Amino acid sequence: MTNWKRYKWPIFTILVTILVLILMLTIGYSIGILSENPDGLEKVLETEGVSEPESFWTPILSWIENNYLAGILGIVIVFSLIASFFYLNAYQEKKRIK
Amino acid sequence: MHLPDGLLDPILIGVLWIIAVIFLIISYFKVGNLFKNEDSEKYIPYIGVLAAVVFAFQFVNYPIPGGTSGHLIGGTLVAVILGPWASVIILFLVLLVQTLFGDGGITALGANTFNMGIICGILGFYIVLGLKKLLSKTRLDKKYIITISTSIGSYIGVVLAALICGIELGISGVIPIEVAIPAMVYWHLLIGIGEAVISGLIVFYILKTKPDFITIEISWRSLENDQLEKV
Repeated sequence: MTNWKRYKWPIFTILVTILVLILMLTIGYSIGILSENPDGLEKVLETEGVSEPESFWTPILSWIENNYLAGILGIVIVFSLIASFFYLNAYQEKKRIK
Repeated sequence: MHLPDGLLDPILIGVLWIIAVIFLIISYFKVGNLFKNEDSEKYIPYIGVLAAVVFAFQFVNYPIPGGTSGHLIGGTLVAVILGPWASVIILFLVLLVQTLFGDGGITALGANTFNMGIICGILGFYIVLGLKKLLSKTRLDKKYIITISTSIGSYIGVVLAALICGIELGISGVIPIEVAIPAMVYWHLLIGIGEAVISGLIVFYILKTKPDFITIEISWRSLENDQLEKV
């Protein structure tokens, strides 16, 4: 039988962190404290009159126009991808040690 | 600092992809060291959360005076917490997800991994180690030493990554190199302040709540016990 008490704090911490991130995005996008200005590289390109070249592919998730939704979806994808990758790596490492 | 497709010279893109792939292969085997202990898998969900934090902070831009904005890169931050090799893999995967949303090019992923994962992550990590060594001669508390070193290391890491990015733009003939380098460095001297503050706060919080999650803290403890573990 799985001892769920052992996982109580990790699960709690993870849920709280993800909620804080979602809250951060919600606040950021709703009260407008986030900046729409270009970042460092974009600013340099803009100042020097270099226009961003046309991309030869359409990013798979670029149809999501709502930044808030894209942010939340991204958080879920990144968490799942990284956790899966490291579980696989840990599994192979344990197998190698055995 | 996400380079889009078609900006850099194709040969340079190829070279940076080769370097990134070599580092990713080495990193894959090196990060296995994180899971040598009996119940080390319990940290994996935390690693996932850390990556999600990096993604979220890269996704949102904070305002910077002068009509620009900044976002976290997180290379040095991840390297301080999980070690330099893990930062290459995490930054690569985070940047890969961002390309799916159109932030950074898919062909430029190798270049972006090189700038943000290898330069900002690995170089930043060794700068933090050096600063930590230097500050440990003072009477400051260990927590503050690691936090201050992380903040300064992150700041230098961002500026170095911007410098390299400027060189790449110059080599590719996008902007003359004598213009690209000072411009990139100038803006990132400002943007890096945000990186330093966010990285310092996150590391300080982890040091307060879960210090055994920080690689640099573990190596410090091992040093104190005269059993230096290779990070």
